[in-house]
Parts: sequence; structure tokens; C-alpha cells
Amino acid sequence: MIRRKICLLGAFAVGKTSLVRRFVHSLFDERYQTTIGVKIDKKLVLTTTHDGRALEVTLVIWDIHGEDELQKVRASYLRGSSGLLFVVDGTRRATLDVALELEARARAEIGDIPTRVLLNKADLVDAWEVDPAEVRAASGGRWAPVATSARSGAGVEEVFQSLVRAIALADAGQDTPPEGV
Amino acid sequence: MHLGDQEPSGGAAPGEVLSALIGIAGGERGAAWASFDADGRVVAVGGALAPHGLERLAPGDALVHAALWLEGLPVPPPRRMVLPALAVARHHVDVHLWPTSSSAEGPVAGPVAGYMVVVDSTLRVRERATVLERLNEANLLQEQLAGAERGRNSARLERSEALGALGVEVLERGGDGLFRPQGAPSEWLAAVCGWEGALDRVISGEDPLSFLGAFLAEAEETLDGDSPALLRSGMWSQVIAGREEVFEAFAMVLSTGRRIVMVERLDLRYRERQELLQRAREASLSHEAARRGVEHKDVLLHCIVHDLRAPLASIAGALRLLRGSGEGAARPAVAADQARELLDIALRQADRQDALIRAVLEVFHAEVMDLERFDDDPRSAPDLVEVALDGVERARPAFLERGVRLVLGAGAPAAAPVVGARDRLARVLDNLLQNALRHSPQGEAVEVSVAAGPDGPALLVSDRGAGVPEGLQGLLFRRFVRGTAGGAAGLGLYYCRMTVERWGGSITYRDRDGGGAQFHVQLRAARAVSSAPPAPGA
Repeated sequence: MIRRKICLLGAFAVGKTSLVRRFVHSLFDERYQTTIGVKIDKKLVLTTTHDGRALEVTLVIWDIHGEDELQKVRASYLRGSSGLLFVVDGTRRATLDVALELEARARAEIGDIPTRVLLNKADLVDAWEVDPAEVRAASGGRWAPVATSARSGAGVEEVFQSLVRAIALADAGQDTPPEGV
Repeated sequence: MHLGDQEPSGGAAPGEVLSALIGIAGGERGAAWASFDADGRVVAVGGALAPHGLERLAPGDALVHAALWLEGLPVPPPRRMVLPALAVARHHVDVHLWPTSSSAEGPVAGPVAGYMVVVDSTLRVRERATVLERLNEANLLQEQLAGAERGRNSARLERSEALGALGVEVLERGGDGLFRPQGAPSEWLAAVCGWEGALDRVISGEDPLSFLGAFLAEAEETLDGDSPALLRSGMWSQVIAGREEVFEAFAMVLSTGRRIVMVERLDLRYRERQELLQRAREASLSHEAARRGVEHKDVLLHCIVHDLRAPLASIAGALRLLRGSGEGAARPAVAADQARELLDIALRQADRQDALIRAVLEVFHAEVMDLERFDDDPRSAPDLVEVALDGVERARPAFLERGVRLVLGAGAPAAAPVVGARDRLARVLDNLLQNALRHSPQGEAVEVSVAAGPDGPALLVSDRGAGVPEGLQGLLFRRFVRGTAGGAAGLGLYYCRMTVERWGGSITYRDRDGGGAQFHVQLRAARAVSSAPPAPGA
């Protein structure tokens, strides 16, 4: 069994804490509860290695507070991370800009590591201000966002699993392209 | 008196011994001697007598030291036998005794059995005392230092205990670069540092997976810098013993050079800050939502104005033609049949405008006032079959006029009471029929059917139009989304979805087999026991 650290990054109220809660505890709370600092959680995840062997990974999940003028993300939080999840709120266009800025800072701090981009609040798709194509375009084609909903659970398990698998492959020196929907 | 001035009658002390003693005494004036017989009595005295008190000795006096020595004690080495210092006045002396000759059995009997030499050792004693005094001082100092260290440790433990009571634990960096607690760590600190069951309670900055480990790595860099300042970790939370706990750490260099990290378990301070931040962010979200709402309303207003204006242009045009006077130049009066046609156009456009206004009003009304109204009592709930029949009859003239057939599908149940409100359900059907008519080619049929399924009764409206382009299907039930046929504000299908979802139902689109579109309205069957519909999107 190995331990790996991943970080969730994004603007405030994009649903980072709800996504972790859905993934780790299979729960969802309608109330918005802002995060101060960092919330650390763990989950044992089963994945497969590049040669098809089963691999248990203890995922240490750092749910980092939302970035805005009141709280800035410290680059040191990212050290030792094996993977990053950037969360964009589909109903708020401005959260895409924040995610892009955070990605640039993260790359400067820790370089290229497996990354996934979540276009969250898919249950409110009617109210989306930004769609997957726009996210792809804004990131210069680097991001293939995965539509997720912490409320319904849609896409959540899949995107975490996808990241863990990419980490396992990166450990073995192999690259995987991001999987978007 | 000079040594050797008075030679003992029984023979002088051996020159070799005297020389050595004089050397020890620091000169000839530092030693005196006495020879004694086998009874320990003085035979003769000599040397520097006065300073050592030997001037009071006379031949025949008993020499206590010699007597003791002669009392069958083991024979000491012939030289350097040192007895405890004899204090004379302020002087210290060493008394040396040796036999005139010796064997393993002891001194040989004769008139002079041995010699006693008294040597002034004041200087040496003083030197020794000085050394001893310094040694004592050093020991005392060491003891004082140890006491002070004990005091500091005690004070440190007391401080640690007091801080612990306040929910603060202190870790101190040792020479090996690792941080250790100052006393027995609390359970929460052991959990934070991952020490449960570990014997070596240390933590370093080499474990970035733990928050404290990552912070220590950052702290080391800062504290080792040119101007080390207090470094705060920011708050973090983790689950300990099934409960979420919140912490904050501070790293600093003390004036003594010690590097410490204080870890604080937060409660009240965290809650206060959380509350403030929560309020600020909720206000920000509200402001953002209000701004988006205003933007949407602006778009809506623009669309409504645009859609209301189009029929008006047609009506005005028809009326001008009827009046027989166009702009600029006079026109001939229109014929009777042409006049009727112009009136029909004006009426149709007026009806269209009326329908648009009703649609807009219904959406606003449904959004702000009437969302929760529905009936789920089977005795009074709307019957979907009845609503479908009425809707078909109501729409038939418009379909006839456009040359599109409207048929009622077979297989409908006798009755299908559903959760909802009859007037709004009828409006849902009207919207779907108008949509189907708009997209149906002349001569084709639009079919309305009611089906009873395991999820409840369903209403299906199917046409043989071009269907909905794939790129538009995902957006179909949003506001202001229009197809290519035009003629609608883009609110009809949005109204349908919003209305049926309020009743716990759903509306979906699929391409129809053989071409065309099919809208499927799934409703909940009205049952005897009322139950609130699930929240939309749940």
C-alpha cells in the first residue's frame, strides 16, 4: 500500500468540500459551509498499475480553502502532492479564471503532475455560464473537464479514480491523457 | 637554626634523605629533625627547630609519632612516609619517620632507632587548599548551573503544562534538526504528528503528507533565513477520533536561539473567523446571483420586446393596407376578399402576440408565485386522459388551418389521475402541441398519447418534423432557447420542464423512430396518501 497526497484547488463555493464529502463519505449537504485553511481527509482507493496489478493507495486529500481576496492559497500547501484537482463552478464564469490562475501557480511551484479538472454543479446545467468547450478553449486545449455533481454524485467517483490511476501510472513513469466528458 | 648545626649523637640523618626533605620543604629552613631510640624517646634534635616547635624537645622526651610508628606497625618505606599534617602555629608540617636501618621485620634495635624529620609543608598545603577551593568553587558553579537548568526545565514543564491547558503544545528543535515535545504530548498532538504507539516522538519536515510536516519544512527555511520572523501555518482541520479538529501552528526563533513550533488547537477563534468569512462569502455569492439575475432579466426583456414587436409590425401593415393609404403615396382601396385576408393576418398576429404575452406572464407567475400549487388527491387530481382529450379538441382548428393532422394515440387507460394542477397541465400540453405544429410539415400527423407505466402516467407528443439538432438537445428545456422555425420566445419548453418538475415529474426529448421529435412528459400518479414532491434536481 502506498500513500499519495492530492490537493483540490479552486475559487470559493465551487464545491470542493462537497466533492470530497461525496467521494469519502457518500454524503451531500445543501448548506454552503466555507472552508478556512485546509481540511485533510483520507480514503483507501483501489487502482491498477501499468502492468495490471491491483494497487491500494491511501489517498491523503487536501481540500484547500477557496481562493479570493480574503484568503490566498499558499504555494507551500502543494509540496509533496502527487495529483491536483481543479474545480470550476459551471454556474460562475469567474471561477474558471481563478482555476486557471491557480494552475499556473501550481505548475510554477511543483511542476507538471497528474491533474484533473472538474466542471462542477452539473445538476444545475441549466444555469451554467461556462461549458466544457469553453473550459477547453480557455486552457489552450490542456484541460478536458469532467462534468461532476457533488449533489447527485455524478462523475465524482470516476474523476477521483481517474486521477489515482494517473498517479499510479506516473509513478511507473508512464503518462495518461486527462479524461474529460 | 640551620639544618645540620646540631648533629644527633646517635648519628646524623642520612644526607640523601635530608636533601630530599629539604627539597620538599622548599629550602633548608623548612625542615627540622630528631633522632629517637627504640622507646621512641628523643636522642637528638637538629635543623630549623623553632618554626616547627622542635626546640621544646629535649633528649629523653617521648616522641608520640615515633612511638606510634615503633608500635609494631608495618615497616613503612624508608622515605617519604607522610603522616597527617601537624598544625604548628599557622604552619603545616609533614612528619617523616624512618629507621636507621630496616628489614622486613621492622627497625633494628640500637641507640638510635630512627629519625623523625619535620618538614614545613605550609606552602604546599596552601596550594592544595587553593586548588581544593577552586575545585569546590567549580563544583559549586556546576551545581548552580545544574540547578538553574533544573529550574529552567521545571519552568519549561510548567509553561508547557499551562499552555497545554490552553490547547497549545510546544515542539522544540533539537541538534539533530528534529522537533520534539517538551513534555508528555497530549493525545491530539500525538494524533496530529502520527505518534500513536510510536516510541520516538519526533517530527521533521520530511513528511509533506501531514500538514505539520509540510509546515515544518517551510518553517525550517524561514527560521534558517537571515531575518527569521514568526511564521503562521494558517488553520487546518483533520479528523481525530471521529471528530473534526482545527489547528494552527506558529514557528519562531527565541532570543536564546531555540527554535520552537507551537501548535494550537482552535475552537472559539476558528468559529469566530469561520462565521465572519462565511458571512462575507455568502454576501459575495448573493451579490453575484443578483447581478446574474439582473443580466438574465435584461436579456428576457430584450427578447420579449423583440417578440412582441414582430406581430405588431404585421398588424400595422395590414391595417394600413385596409385604410388604403400607405406612407408617402395614396393607394387604391383593397378588394373585399383581400380585405378579409388582411383582417385574418392581423387577427392571427394579434393572437400570436396574445399567446406570447400569456407565455411570458405564465413563466413569471410560475416562477414567483404559484410554484407549489398542485393536487395529489386522486378524487380531485387532474385526469391526464381528460386533459389530453380536451387539449386535442382545443388545438384541432389550428392544426386544420395548417393542414397538419392531430391524432390521439391508442392504448390510453380509461383514466390517469396525476399529481399536478389541471390548468397548468393543460398549458403544458398546449405548449407541446404548438411546438409540434410549428415544426410539422403540411400533411403529416402529430400524435398525442397517454401511457400508464411503472413510474406513473406519461404524456407523449410526437411529430414528423425535422427533429431537434443534436447540439441543441441538451439546451432544449432552458430559457430563451429557440429552434430554427422561430415564432416563439423560447419559453414554452422551459415552462413545461419547470412545471412538471415541481410536481416530481420530468420531461425528456428523443428523436422519433422514422424521423421527427417525441416529447415524453413523465408524471407521478396521484395516490390516496399525499406526499410532497422531491425537490427539483434532487
